[in-house]
Amino acid sequence: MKTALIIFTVFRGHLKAWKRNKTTLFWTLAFPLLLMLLFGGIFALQSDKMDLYIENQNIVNNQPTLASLQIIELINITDAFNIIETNEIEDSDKQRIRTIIIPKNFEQDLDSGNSSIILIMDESHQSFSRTISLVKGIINEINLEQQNSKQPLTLIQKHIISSDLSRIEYFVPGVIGIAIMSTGIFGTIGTNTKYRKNGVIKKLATTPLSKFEWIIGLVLYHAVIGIVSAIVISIVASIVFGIKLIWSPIIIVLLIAGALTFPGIGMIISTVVREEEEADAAGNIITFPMLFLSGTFFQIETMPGAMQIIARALPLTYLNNGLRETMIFGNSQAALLNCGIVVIIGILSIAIAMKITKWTDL
Amino acid sequence: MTEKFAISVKSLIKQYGKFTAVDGISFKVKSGEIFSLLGPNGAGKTTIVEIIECLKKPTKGEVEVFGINIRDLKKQINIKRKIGVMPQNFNAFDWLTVKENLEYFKNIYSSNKSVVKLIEDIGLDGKTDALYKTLSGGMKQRLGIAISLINEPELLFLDEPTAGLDPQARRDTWNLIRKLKEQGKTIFLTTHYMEEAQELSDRILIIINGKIVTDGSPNKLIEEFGGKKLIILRNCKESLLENHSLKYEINFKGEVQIPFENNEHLFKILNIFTDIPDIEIEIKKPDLNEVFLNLTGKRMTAEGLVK
Ligand SMILES: Nc1ncnc2c1ncn2[C@@H]1O[C@H](COP(=O)(O)OP(=O)(O)OP(=O)(O)O)[C@@H](O)[C@H]1O
Ligand SMILES: [Mg+2]
Repeated sequence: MKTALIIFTVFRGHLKAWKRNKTTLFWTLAFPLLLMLLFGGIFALQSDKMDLYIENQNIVNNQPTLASLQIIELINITDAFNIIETNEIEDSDKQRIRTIIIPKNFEQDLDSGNSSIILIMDESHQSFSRTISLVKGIINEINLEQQNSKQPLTLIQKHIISSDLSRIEYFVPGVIGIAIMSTGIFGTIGTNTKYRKNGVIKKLATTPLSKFEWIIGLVLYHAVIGIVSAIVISIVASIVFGIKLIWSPIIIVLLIAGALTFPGIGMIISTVVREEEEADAAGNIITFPMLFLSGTFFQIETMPGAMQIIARALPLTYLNNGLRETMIFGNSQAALLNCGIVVIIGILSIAIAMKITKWTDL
Repeated sequence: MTEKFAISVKSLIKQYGKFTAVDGISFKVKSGEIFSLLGPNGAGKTTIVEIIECLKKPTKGEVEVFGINIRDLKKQINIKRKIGVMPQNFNAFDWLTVKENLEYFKNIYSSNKSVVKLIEDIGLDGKTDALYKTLSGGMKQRLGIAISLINEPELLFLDEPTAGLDPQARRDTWNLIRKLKEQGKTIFLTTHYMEEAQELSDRILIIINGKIVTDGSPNKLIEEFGGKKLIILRNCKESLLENHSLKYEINFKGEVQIPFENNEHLFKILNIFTDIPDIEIEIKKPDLNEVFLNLTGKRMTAEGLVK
């Protein structure tokens, strides 16, 4: 009971300081938000055109029919799609985010005023409504040309579950990961070196407060600001980019594991490297590779082999993967695996930190 | 009569690498007294108190606080519960208010002491909700003392509690310390201010370079090592003194000083100057400054020891 009150006191002290200090607020909230908005903006500019797979089955004498070529041309003119023509019929290729199938008897049916094309797409995808309105616009245009019948061309929609991610969807969990990592590592290095220098740690060491209570209070604080940071980032992501994130208790476990891992690493650094600037430099050396290799900006699968090996050794990789699996894919099983890894790394790093941190001989 | 000792230090040695900061020191602090460690910068004062406070490990020697050996790690917590510490260059949490800082430490000790009352006692009523970082240096020091009182300690360590304070603030702190002594607390004071040690202490231990120079009550030290009482004269022609064949010295400020034994001697000398209105006369009893000078041949100033 006493210990709980003491830990709570330590936790609340950190939290109050965080709320009142603009610098810490910046690093936990404003910085990740700016990062997300900036890169979200860049991605939006880049991915102006949407990939569209077209499967033209309306082939006569090894030649696509005129009508089928005409509709492809109309789609092309909209300039909204990046057209990829395929011939093979691959039923449920998840990699294809949107596919249009022009059926075998398309031209024939069009003449008889009773034709259709098929759009296969994930209805829950953020670009679904834009795609559908563009495709319907094209169909209307064709229908207007075909005067002889009321509704010669119709659209058949088929729903698939696609695993295609827009870059921003891929990016958002990574932003949360970066926020957790940087506040965890730099926040702890900052607090430790400051409090050691100005004598707060010395004063605490003269009281019955144990380093166990102090460290657990710190971890709790990081868990809470991690959760706050994740919530704020998610809300902004859904408002600005229209991303739907899936919430599950696993996320909380992941964030707590992150609050063990990164403050633990920060504590180890500030114990081993005692000078303020040097500790900051050491923090940079450790966070820098995680920033770029842990799958926040670039997919790990697309990296060169050597870098993939490094990526697999970094705790942020597993935190990012875990967050992505839950928040985006809703895949609890894959998330749990990553979560387990982060929990183990977290417990290890906090245990080492507790072992080597010293109250005395400061 | 068996006296109760709050602290007992025997042949204490502390080395930092090859450097010996504390070199075989022994002393005891009685319950209820104000005990001062007096010495110039780097004498080893902080090292000694921090060993007693269980912050540093001694290299050699025995230290007991309330009869508990500080090497007994499991019992250190019992010492910590009963002591209040204001470290040198004390700081509290910058982003917490005066009240929140006090409550923080109150919770750590699970103490019942009234925070509001403490704030009143140290005269920080107007600053209850001010952030620690916005306080003046003097206010920070006072809060430091208040925090060290939050667990109602029997033994209080104050390491340079008035460093950098203005004379008024220093007097206020001295009064506070006297009040605490009246409440029956044992106070272990560390200072390099002669005046402070003289004003407050029941007993003083003078150390230089990690070694004890002497110890005793301020009066005893002055009596023993203070030297003569002096008449100090300013604007006095030396020829006048020579005419009366008086023994005199010129001190480091360029003033004439004439030693005297007793009141009769004093009046006899003063008689000589009754008709010379320009002369400024000051009668000076020796203080700790003289004690220190006589013991070490050096003068202790804010800049350290000077010849
Ligand atoms: N952690 C340390 N490592 C090495 N040397 C140290 C350490 N702490 C103190 N010293 C040295 O030990 C000596 C005594 O230092 P200490 O702080 O005890 O002096 P002090 O009497 O409190 O001085 P001050 O009046 O300046 O506070 C000094 O020479 C100091 O340089
Ligand atoms: Mg000191």
